[in-house]
Amino acid sequence: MSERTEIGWPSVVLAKVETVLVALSSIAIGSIMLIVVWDVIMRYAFSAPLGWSYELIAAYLVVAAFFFALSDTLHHHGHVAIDLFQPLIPHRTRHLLLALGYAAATVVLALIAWQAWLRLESAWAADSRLSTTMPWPTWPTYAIVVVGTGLVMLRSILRVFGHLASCISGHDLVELPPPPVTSSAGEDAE
Amino acid sequence: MTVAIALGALVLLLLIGLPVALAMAVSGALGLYLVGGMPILGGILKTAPLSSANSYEIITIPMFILMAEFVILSGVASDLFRAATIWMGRVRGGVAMATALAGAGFGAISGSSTAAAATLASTSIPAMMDEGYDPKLAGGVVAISGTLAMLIPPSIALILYGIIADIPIGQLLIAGLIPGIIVTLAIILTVALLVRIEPGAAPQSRSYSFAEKIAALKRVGPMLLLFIAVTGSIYTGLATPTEASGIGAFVAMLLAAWERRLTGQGLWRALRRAAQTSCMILFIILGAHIFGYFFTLTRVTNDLTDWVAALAVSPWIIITIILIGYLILGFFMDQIAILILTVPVVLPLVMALGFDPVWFGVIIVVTAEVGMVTPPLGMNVFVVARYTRRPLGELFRGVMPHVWAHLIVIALLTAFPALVLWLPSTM
Repeated sequence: MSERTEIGWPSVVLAKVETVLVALSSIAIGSIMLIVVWDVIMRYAFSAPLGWSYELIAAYLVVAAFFFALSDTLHHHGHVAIDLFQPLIPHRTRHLLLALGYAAATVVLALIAWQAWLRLESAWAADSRLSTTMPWPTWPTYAIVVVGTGLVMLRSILRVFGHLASCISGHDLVELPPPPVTSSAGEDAE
Repeated sequence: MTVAIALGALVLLLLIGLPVALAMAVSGALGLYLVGGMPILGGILKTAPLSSANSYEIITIPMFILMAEFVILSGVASDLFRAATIWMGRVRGGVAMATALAGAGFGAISGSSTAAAATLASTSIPAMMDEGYDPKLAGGVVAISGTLAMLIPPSIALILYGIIADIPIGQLLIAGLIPGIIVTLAIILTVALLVRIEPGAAPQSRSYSFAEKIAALKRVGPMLLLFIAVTGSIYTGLATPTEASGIGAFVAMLLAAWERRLTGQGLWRALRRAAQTSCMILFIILGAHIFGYFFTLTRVTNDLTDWVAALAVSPWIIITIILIGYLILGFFMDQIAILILTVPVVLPLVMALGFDPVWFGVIIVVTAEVGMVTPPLGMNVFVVARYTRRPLGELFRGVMPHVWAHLIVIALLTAFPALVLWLPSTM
C-alpha cells in the first residue's frame, strides 16, 4: 500500500525518521550479539570477561533495540492485533472506534514520553550514574525512551486523523493491515 | 466495578482490532487512573516502560529470533527436509513423515512456529505434490509440524513464559525437549495410520542407497552443530541461556556467510525483521506490565486464587478446565498474547493447587499450539495455504487427525508430568 493513503506527507516524513530509528535498532541488536560473543570468548579463553558488557546491553542497547523499533513496527502493522471481528463491525463505526482507540493510546504514549522526559531532566541535572563498575550516565536511557515513544505517539496521532477521515468520508483513508494472507490464497484456489 | 470497566475496555479495544499491546496499555492505564488517579498512573507509567526492556535476560528473545532469521537466510533449513526424505526411504507416507522430522530439526534451531511452517511449506509441499500425495495429507502434516518449533528448544514461547513467571529459562527450554520428541512421534504415527486407512493418499517413494544417506547427513551437520552449541551448552550449564542465544545467532550468521548468502541486503533484512518481531513481543510485555499493575492493585489475582482454592473440587478437574480454556483462547488469539495475558493470573492459581510451574509452562505451550492449526485463526494453516494455494477448508480438514493426536499427547503429558520434568531434573 502506498504511503499516500495515510493522509499524505506527514506519514512520509514520519516514515523517513522511522527508517533511521529502526536502522539504529537493528545496529543495537547486531551489537548485542557481537558483545555477548566477545564477552564469552574473553571469559572462557582468556579468563578476562568484559566488565562493562552487562551494563551496556541492559542500560542502552536493549532499550534502543526496543524503543527505536516501536514506531516502524506500528507503521508496518507488525504489532499483533486481533482482526477477526473487524469485518463484523460496520465500516464507519469501526473507523470511529479505532480513532477513539488510537486517541486513548496517544494519551497513554504521551504520558509515558512525558514521564521519561521528567526523568531525563532530573538525570541530566543531577548527572546521575549507574551504580556499577562503569559509572555510565543514565540520561541516554531516558532520552531513548522519549524519542522512541514520542515518535510512536506521532504515528498514533496520524492514525487518529486517518481513521476519523475514513469515518467521515466512508472511504479507507488510512493504512489498513494487509489483508490476511488467507483470503487471497484461499480464494484463488477455490 | 473498576475491574469490570477496565476488562470491558480491554475486550472492546481488542475486538475493534487495536494492537494488543496498546489495548492492554490503555485499559490498564484507565483502570489505574480509576483506582488511584494521576499519582498512581503517573508513577507506574514512569517505571513500567523501562522495567520491560531494561533487563539483560530479555535479550534471549531478539537473539533467538535473529538466529532463526540467519538460518533461513543461509538456506540450509531446506536441506533438512531433503535429508529426512532420503532417510525415510521407501516407507509409505515417508515424505510426510520426513516433514515431521524436518519440522523437529528446524524447531531445534528456531523458536518461531510460523517461520517453521513457511520454510517447511516451501520445500516439502512441492515435493509431496510431485510424488502424488493427497494435498489434504500434505498440507495437514506441514501445518502441524511447524508447531514443533514452539516446543523444541529454543522456544520463544517458553522463554517468554519464563520471563513472565520468573522461572529459570534454561530449565524450561530443556523441559520442552522430550515433549517435542513425543509430538514428533505422534505426527509420524498419525501419518502412518492415515496411509494405512487410505493407501491412495500417499504413494511409496523410491529407496536410497547407504552412500546417499551418508551424503545427506553432511548437509545436516552444520545445523546439528548449531543445536548442540545452543541446547547442549544450556543443558550442561556451560553457558547461560542468554549467552547461548547470542552465540547461536553468531554461529547462524557464520553459517549464512559460509553458504555465501550473507549479503549487505540480507544482513539488513535479517536484523530489521529481528528488531520488529522483538519489538512486537516486548511491546505486548510492556502493555501487560501496565495491565498487570492494575490487577495487582485491585487484588483480582489473589481473590480469584482464594476463590478457586476454596472450591471443593479436585485439582485435576480445575487443571482440565484451565486447559480447555487455553484451547478455546487459542482458537481466537495469538499465542504470545495468550501467554502474557493469562499467565500472571493463572500461574499463582495453578501453583496453589500444587502443580509444577515448569510442567505447566510446557503444557500450556503444547495446548496453545493447537490454536495454530485450528480455525478461525490457525496461523500455520494460513501460511501453508499461501504456499499451496489450496482452499483453507481442505487444509483445516487435513490437519484435524493431527489435532486429535495432539490432544492425546496433552492428556499423556498431564497424566505423567515426569515426561516433562525428568530431563530438567538431571541438569
